Amino acid sequence: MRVPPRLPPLTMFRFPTVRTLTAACFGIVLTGCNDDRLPAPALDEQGGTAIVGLSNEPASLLPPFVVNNHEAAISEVIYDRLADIGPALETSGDAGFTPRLASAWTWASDSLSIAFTLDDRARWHDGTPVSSADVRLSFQLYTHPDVESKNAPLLGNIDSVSAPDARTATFWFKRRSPQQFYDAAHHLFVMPSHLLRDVPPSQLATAPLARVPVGTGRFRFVQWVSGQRVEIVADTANYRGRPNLDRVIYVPTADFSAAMIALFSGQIDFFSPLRPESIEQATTTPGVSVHMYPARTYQHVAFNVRNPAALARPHPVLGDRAVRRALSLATNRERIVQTVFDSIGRVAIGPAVRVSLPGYEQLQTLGYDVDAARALLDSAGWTMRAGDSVRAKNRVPLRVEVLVPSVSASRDQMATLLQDQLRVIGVDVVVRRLEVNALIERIESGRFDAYMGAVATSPGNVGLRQSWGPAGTGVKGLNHSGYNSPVFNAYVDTALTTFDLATAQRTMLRAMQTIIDDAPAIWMLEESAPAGVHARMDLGSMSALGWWHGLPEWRISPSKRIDRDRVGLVSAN
Amino acid sequence: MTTPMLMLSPSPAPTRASSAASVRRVAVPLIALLVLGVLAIFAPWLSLVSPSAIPSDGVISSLQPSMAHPFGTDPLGRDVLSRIIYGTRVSLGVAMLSVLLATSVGVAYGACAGWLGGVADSAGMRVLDVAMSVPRLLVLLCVAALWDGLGITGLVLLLGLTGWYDIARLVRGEVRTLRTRDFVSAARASGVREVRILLRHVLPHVWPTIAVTATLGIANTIALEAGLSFLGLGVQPPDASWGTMLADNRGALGASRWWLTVFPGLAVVTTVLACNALGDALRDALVPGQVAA
Amino acid sequence: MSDRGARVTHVVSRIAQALFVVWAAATLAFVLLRLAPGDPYVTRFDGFNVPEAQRAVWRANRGYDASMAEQYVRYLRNTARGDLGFSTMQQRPVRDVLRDVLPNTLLLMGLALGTSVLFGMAIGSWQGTRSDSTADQLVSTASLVAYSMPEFWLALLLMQLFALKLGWFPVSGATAAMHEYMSSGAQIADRLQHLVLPWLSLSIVGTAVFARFQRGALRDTWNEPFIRTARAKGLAEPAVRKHAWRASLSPMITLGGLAFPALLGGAVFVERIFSWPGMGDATIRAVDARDYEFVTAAVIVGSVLTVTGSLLADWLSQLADPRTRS
Repeated sequence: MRVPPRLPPLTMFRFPTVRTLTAACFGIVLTGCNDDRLPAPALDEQGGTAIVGLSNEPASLLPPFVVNNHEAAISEVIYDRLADIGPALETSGDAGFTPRLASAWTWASDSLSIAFTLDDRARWHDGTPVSSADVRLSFQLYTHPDVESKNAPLLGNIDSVSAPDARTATFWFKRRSPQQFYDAAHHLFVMPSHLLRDVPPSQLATAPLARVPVGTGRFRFVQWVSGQRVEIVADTANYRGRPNLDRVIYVPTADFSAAMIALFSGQIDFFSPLRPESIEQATTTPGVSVHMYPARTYQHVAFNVRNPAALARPHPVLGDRAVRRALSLATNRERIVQTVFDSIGRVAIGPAVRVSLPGYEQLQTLGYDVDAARALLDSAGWTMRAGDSVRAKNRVPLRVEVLVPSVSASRDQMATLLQDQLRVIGVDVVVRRLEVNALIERIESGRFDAYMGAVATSPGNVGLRQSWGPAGTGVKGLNHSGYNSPVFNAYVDTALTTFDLATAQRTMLRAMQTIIDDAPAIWMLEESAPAGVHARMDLGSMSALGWWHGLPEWRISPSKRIDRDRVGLVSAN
Repeated sequence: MTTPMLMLSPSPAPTRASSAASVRRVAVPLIALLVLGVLAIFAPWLSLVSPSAIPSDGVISSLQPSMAHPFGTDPLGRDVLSRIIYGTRVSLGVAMLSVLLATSVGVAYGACAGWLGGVADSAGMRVLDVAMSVPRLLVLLCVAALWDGLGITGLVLLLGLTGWYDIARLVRGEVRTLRTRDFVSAARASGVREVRILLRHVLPHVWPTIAVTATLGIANTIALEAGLSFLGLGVQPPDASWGTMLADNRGALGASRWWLTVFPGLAVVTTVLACNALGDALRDALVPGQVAA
Repeated sequence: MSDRGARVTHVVSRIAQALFVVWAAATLAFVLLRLAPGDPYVTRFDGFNVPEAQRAVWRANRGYDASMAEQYVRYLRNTARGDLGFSTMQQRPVRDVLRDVLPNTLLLMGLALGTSVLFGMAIGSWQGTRSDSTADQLVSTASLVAYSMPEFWLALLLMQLFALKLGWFPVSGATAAMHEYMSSGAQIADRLQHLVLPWLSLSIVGTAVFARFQRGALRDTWNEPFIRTARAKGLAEPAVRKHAWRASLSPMITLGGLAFPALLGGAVFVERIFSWPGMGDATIRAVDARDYEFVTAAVIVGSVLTVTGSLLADWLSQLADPRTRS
């Protein structure tokens, strides 16, 4: 049996740390960033234990190896970025960014380097002061070829990081770009060099730090019982102030039904994301409420515009823009989204989410219009002879195979409804469920007509070049559709390289309109990430970057505390 | 899936139970299975609601059981009863075909090993020992991943080719015993060819064992297929099996829509139960006091 | 002397055969997994912008770019040295993963097997003594029903009833979130509480299997000549029963050995549904993630367990069978 860790007595930190403006703006998205200093909670407001259900057991907690939400939810509250992206998730320049591990930064006059000044109060959880060597080593590890980090390609525009003095870390960039600050600040969490210096990069994954993280965040790690729980506690001496909760315990609950029962019975305080079918019961269960987090994910039916047999040629059916538009017009997306996702989804506009781009909602979309769809198909030569139920052109039937991952009931439902709706205009949709590896292999090699996909969009839509542009058409690229519109590409390039924000956004809107008109996909829905929350929790702000971004602000008011909120913690009095 | 096929008789020892009782023990599950089979075969002519009919207008929701939909409807508004009946075709069909395959392979293998004896027999049995020692579910998990969307044919092959070990062992045992019997020697003496002796004189005595094992095998396979579908590795739509229906509506269990999981689950349990009961009854009637293993 | 020699030969050949089984199973898993679509980087980096060139470097670092024969030789060499490799899914050595998950599975399965055998034999023996009475038939029917329930379905029902409706037992994991802060007595109670539902799911089915079997075995021996002789000799009925029961023991043990891999299969479902941190759940996730080295290791462990089970059963049934003991 493990010995319960002793926590430092709370009395040491009776006086709330003075909050700087920087900390006050942290992570607030839905409620907006308040310019006034947040009133520091009364001392007795601090405390409590939150038990959070995770959909899976985390693997590594070292930032370069974090790939899933259930890892990010722990790792990203233990480790710090240099600066936090603003509530609008704006990636251009440094507007909106708030200090985190860096208290200030200066741009070089040629804009090819940025010098970050580290907060001199920042300490690693083991007491060592943070230094610029930490930042430099972190960058080197993230980008080392032996380190299997998904963020390495995102740091590609950073040439190197130097450490002119202990408190200054200078990032040197290969090219000027509006996203260079975002690249440095957002994709890199700073790791302790004094604990990693002697670890060869190829051994990084098995370094002790991977399972016993030491960071600078407002929570620090206590223990990880494999397969059962990860426990973190408030870092009471943290340079950005202690979080409200004393302690958070994460428990993996892989089975969704089991997670719901645990939530409804009060065994866990928080679980996200809920599935559509559980929303109703979550809202009607006493003591549980549903919070909607904005998500950055859209789901779509992606069409392959290239011929699966010969990728250089257009797809025999879907290579024709008119056919794609017709399929989109004949789809009653409202009904599909309502049936499958009810209140947690809304019909998508294009390859972005509404919060990411001002003016996006005013774009012209392909509404539900069956007659227009029929007319389009007729004029494109796909006609239906009397007595037939499927259209054909040169004896080739208008048939589209839609691939669905076998584990996703909701995508299967959407595909089934799509099949039902498109039958009306004489299109034969064949739904095919595939094991996920087989599905990805088919998609990545272009051997498909269409698939039900989901895309997590990047802040500032910086991923468009990969997901719909030429940067994603290579082997294992993300542009599975093979959509390649010179007009769209030019707009996106301009938008992502223009320093003037308003111009960039206007150009981005043009790019969006172009791709919506070309219909390389039926943009189905934008999801919210609903969370089931126990009534005793007061969550405060909600970030589209993930629910855990607000974790330090979570609160359990003293009147609602139960035994487990105090157990094992030394009393304040 | 769950248990090894019982090769020792669970309720053998032909007591002097009345033959009427033993007929009833065979008849009840047999009739139940026949009804199910008839329903499955004639489903398209039963003027049922189509299993894939989605309401064409209005809000689609999962309705609780009513007169119009005795088992309720699923989240896409499709009739659960009708889907279960059509699911019978898949679940029962897959199980029967794969057991047929397993039985054919197993009987051939076991008969050859038992008949040839000697090195062939011991080598054959070692191979069987090896095959039986590998947990079947692990093999299924690995092989199912191989297929690019496991079709019905693939599933039948997969279940059939991993399910013949028990029957091969049983048949081999019986053939070995029968081989030394007088009627075999007599046939041999009168110049009947070996193959003919095996097929015409020996195998007929093994049929009861085969029938019992196959019936129990069907029960096993239905449960196994449901389990595989439950893990997302089984039959894929449009041919929804009971397991797929269960898996797709897992989330409804915590919610109040019990009919989405209870009815497909009951379909599995009832059918497996009927097969097991039939297998037991057949054994008692046909294979008195069988002790193999 | 020659008898002893034969026995040694027998033992040696059984062990050689067991090793062969384990090798064959591992090889099968090795080949199948590498033939299957995907590799360890496919699901892990699904949806991320990780170009093929980058993945190729990582694959080469782990040797996954070599020919299958080359990988196989290296795999055999490493395995023989006791190096089970690196789990890409859990980002740590396979050995560490096994150290965490194996005890949980063994605990659950051992407990389930133990209770199944115990209760199953007790029920079956009880039935065997009152063959074809109404009580016997009722119990037979009940065990037939229990035997016909897939474990995953039973697990779902139990979860619905005892966790959701009644709230008696926790529904997931092996311990509560606050386990560390409990007194040692409460910790034991907590562990037991978490065990109840997974254990029940496995044991109900297992008990039915053993009960059916014990009843059958007992009734088989009932008709054996030595029992009839014993009766004819005027042995008291309880003593006859004891004889019959002893004789039925050996086939029971054989079944116990055979039940092991089946239990392992059932445990996969039960572990998954109750988030039990064991081998079965980890293996399913590893197959999905194409975690080559963990899956092959899991198959090795699974077949070692199976082989051990059947060896143990062989040995025990020889000990138990009065006819094979001189």
